[in-house]
Amino acid sequence: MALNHIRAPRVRLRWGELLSPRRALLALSALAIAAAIALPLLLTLWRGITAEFSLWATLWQVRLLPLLGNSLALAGAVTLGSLVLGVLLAWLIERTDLPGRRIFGPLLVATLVIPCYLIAIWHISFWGPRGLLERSLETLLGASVSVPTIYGFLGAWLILMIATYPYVYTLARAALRSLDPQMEEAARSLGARKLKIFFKVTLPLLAPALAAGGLLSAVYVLADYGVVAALRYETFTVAIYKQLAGRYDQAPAAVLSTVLIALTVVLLVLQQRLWGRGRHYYRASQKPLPVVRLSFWSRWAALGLVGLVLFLGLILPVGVSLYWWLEGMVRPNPTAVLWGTSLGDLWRYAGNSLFSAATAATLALVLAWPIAYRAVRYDQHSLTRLAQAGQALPGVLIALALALVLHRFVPSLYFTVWALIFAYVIRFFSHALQATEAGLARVPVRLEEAARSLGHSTVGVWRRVTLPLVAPSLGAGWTLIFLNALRELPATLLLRPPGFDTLPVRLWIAAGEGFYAQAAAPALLLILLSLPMLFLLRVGDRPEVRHGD
Amino acid sequence: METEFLELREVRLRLAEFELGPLSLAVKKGELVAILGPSGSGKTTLLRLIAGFERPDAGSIAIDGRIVADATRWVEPEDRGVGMVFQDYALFPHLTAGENVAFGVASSKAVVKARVAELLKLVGLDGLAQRYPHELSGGEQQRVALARSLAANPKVLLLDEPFSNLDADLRPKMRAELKLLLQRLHCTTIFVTHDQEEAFELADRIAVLNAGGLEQIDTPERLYREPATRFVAEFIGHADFLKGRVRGGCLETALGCFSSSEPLPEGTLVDVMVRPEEVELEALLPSDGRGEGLIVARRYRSGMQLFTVRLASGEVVRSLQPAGAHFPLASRVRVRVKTQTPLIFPR
Repeated sequence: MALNHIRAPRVRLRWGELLSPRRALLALSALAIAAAIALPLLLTLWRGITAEFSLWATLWQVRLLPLLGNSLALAGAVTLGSLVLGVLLAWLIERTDLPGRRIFGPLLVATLVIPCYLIAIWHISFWGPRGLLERSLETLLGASVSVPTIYGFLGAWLILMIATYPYVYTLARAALRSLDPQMEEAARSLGARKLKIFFKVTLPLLAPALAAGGLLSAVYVLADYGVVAALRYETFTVAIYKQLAGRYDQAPAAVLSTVLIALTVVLLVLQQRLWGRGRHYYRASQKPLPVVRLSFWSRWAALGLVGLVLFLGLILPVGVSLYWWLEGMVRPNPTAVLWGTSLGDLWRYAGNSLFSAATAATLALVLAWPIAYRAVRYDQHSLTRLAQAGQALPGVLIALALALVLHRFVPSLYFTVWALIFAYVIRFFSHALQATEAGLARVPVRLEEAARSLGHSTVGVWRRVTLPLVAPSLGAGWTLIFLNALRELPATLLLRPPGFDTLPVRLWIAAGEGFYAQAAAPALLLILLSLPMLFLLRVGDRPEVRHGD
Repeated sequence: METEFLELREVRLRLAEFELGPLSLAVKKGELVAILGPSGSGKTTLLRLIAGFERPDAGSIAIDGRIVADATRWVEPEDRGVGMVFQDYALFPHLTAGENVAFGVASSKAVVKARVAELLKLVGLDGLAQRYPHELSGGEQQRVALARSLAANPKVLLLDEPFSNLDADLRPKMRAELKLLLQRLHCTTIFVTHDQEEAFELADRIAVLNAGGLEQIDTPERLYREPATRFVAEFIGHADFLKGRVRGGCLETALGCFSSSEPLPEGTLVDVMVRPEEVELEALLPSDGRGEGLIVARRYRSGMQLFTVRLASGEVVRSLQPAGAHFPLASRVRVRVKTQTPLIFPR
């Protein structure tokens, strides 16, 4: 039970590594890449911090306070909701005899396949004014019925809760599974009753994982653009977007961003702390925990809850998009030509999406290599942190940061596909680093040395030893970045060159104007292309897959 | 005092992997009983039955005159007053050593505090109350687990392989400490082990378990001298068996004739048990002929030598000799058995 790992102090070569030409090249390229990745964000922070005091003062009164209130209220409510929902569902799946839990278990994570702005859009088209529900009720009852509005706080809360509970759910399931049954037995042998055991043993043991999952939800809400924009609830991301897209005033946007970055960083640091501490506690247990038998009524209530969650997160979005798609096929709208939703156009958008996402994934892995190699082989992790700056930051923010840099230094790149691709790379660079480091960790130097002692050249060793061992991790990392870039919305909206529409952009604009039939085809195609995500979720059970915001 | 404090009657439990029992066992108040057996013999399951983590399919369990489990009655583990020290201690990782010990004490704060201090002192850990389990060594963790169980004033204390997670060089010390402590507390204790040395050193009586059944429960001395079954004979210490046949009131074996303690019909086939310390060796001079045995192996064991001797019949016996004895490998020896009436087991 030696849980405290003591690390032997390691001699760090800092300047010494510059003495060997190979090491120097590696160090310098790693430094250059990390700097390029982190620069836009650092510059945004710099612009925000050095903005005139009067600007801060005005913004504080007029914008910052209400925005802070809105963002924090939503983040808090969503976190609380997804904690309750995630833990409850995890408990039902892991520790009760709920019928069909083997099927529901993975299905409850499958909602991650649908980008969350899509969930929002289809919910609006269903519940919203003149939406499917109102119209069908009208046909049924013959009188007009008004459904309570979905716009605003409540709608945003509901959709974001549906979008983020899987993070808590996966972490809580893993934590429940790794709980040592002996803990509860020990408590019982000491005379403790069920309630005492739950509050004094089980809950404290789960707490680190739950806190980590909850904070992940909070960070997610702060970074979200699509859902809050679609549901017209103003948070930081929406405000920054408006500043950038409408007025194109960079200084206030930078100030807002600085506050948002600070908020996110605080949550991220907190999350990493808690997660690190949490892992301390867990030990693989040999025996599964005893299963709780549900009574007749609680079984139906539980099935109802699972059904409701699956309906809201999976069945309704897919069903409604299918409905609109069929509607568009059966009754072609004359304006459809304007919207360019012919098959050829659709392929063009898909092509744009695939090209930019694939290029970004490849580029990210190439750029991550020197940093990861240096981190794993020479135990120098300083640049890893720097290069992960884009992690979990809102896409809006990265777009703003890139706009700042390109505008000033390389205006020729501004509004090109490459600016967009670079935004993806920054945004998802931490996935590339994690995948490459994980892969390299599987190839100890000793293996390469052994291969060389058996008479293979450097290139031969690479081809026959290193690459085959690293490849699976790189493949998983590539897929993860590709899928996340494929569904990226806000940065794409802000940075895409004119005429370069991706699937998310197309469906977003069409839905924004109320042309749901025209949004349906790109939406379905996007969901189809995202299906490999199911496999990643199954393999990793990792909460790294983003909903796209 | 001399009443059965803990009693298992015809207890049976069928689990996925194996079946335990039917098994009966009685332990007196204040007694220290070891459950000894190879892995997979059901030792831990037996403890879990007593603690109430498993429910027997048949039979009854009584603690201090109260039935805690039978066909109709069932007392939950938290109401049994049975303290359990788990094999890997199962300390609550989110609580300090002091809070762990306090977990089972239901009383006012001042009383709890005093009790925790008293128990930590008892197990020699005063001053470590604020430490978390992962900040303690294996031995310290074990003592916290023990203190935690004792704090709840259990009627019966159960220890599951208490020393298996400790470093080998720490075990004898912890064993001696535990023995002293348990003797002082006069607490009825059952502990599970697969280590004979441990059982022999600590226990008043040892219950030998094999494949879910109780082979014998007895004092260490009697287990060794008078094993009830062949399994016990083989499991406790070294034992070799010689094929024997009753002929003319004598037990004929490869090492000569023995007398039988009980009359057996002519021609009965039996196994005759021979312990290494009963086997005498004698070096042969070249003129002495072939002798009975050939030295095939030699092994040192705590200052003695254990020789393996192959007999002309192909059977093998072992002989314990002082360190100075000299019998070269592959040399021929004369083999004699000291006892006249060895233990015999039907074949």
